[in-house]
Amino acid sequence: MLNVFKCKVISRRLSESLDRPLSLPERIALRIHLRFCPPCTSYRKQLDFMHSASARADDNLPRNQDQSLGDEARERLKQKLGPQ
Amino acid sequence: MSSPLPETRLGPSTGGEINWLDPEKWLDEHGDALYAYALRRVREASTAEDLVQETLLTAIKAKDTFRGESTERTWLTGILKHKVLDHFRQAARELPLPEVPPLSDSQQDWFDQSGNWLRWPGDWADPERSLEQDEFWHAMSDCIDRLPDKLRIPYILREFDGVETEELIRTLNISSRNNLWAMLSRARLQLRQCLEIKWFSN
Repeated sequence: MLNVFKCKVISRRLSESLDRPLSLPERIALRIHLRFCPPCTSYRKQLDFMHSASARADDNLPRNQDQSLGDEARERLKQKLGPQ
Repeated sequence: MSSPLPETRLGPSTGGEINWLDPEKWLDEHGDALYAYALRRVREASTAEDLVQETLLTAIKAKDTFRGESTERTWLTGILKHKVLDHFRQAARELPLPEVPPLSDSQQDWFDQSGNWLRWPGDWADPERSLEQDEFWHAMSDCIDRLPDKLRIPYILREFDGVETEELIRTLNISSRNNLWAMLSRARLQLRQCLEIKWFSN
């Protein structure tokens, strides 16, 4: 099988499609491969999902105790900011 | 992050007054969120605290430039984003992120000798619904934290913050675009597997 049609290469291309515009030959190779490859098709959907989840992650990721400013840190910051 | 939300817009819609900007309240209202944002990226409590401090000091100086086109939170986070990038730029000058070895040399490989998936990615049922579930975000947080720094940092800057390729390789002092794309691809493969185990297999 041609190198460009291997799942390993395709997975990398699918990832890159989130970082740069793919060339026409790359897009064609992807489309042909995806038509016949269920795992890469699943991976593509998962990449899209992770991409949209990540874009809104900061608003949704849990914030536990040690990810909040403690009272001491808050006090330190207040001191440093001082009266303006 | 860049899109303003009109319904949460602060301050009066007319007049040039900016008296709703109150630095003393910033710490109370946004301190935790800013700190969590910084900590997620730099991991170190003292560094995160410093970045929040610099952000608030910068915001105080730049107070007059706030136009109420975004929420206070968005505005402050925008300043912090630049501080975080500055931090990584500085750190990468001193100690560049290590090069990522070719996939075949790494312990964890996803493909066999002929380039086929060792284990097929599973079918994720109704992933969109996950976004509304707190447990999903716990799994996501855990999986992000499990990425090694050399993959986690580029991933977060690219996918959380939308930093483009060129700026990213300059900021992190990465030798080539190709190397960056390899790191991002690896990060996504690892994150995928982790989410599948921790969330989608239940």
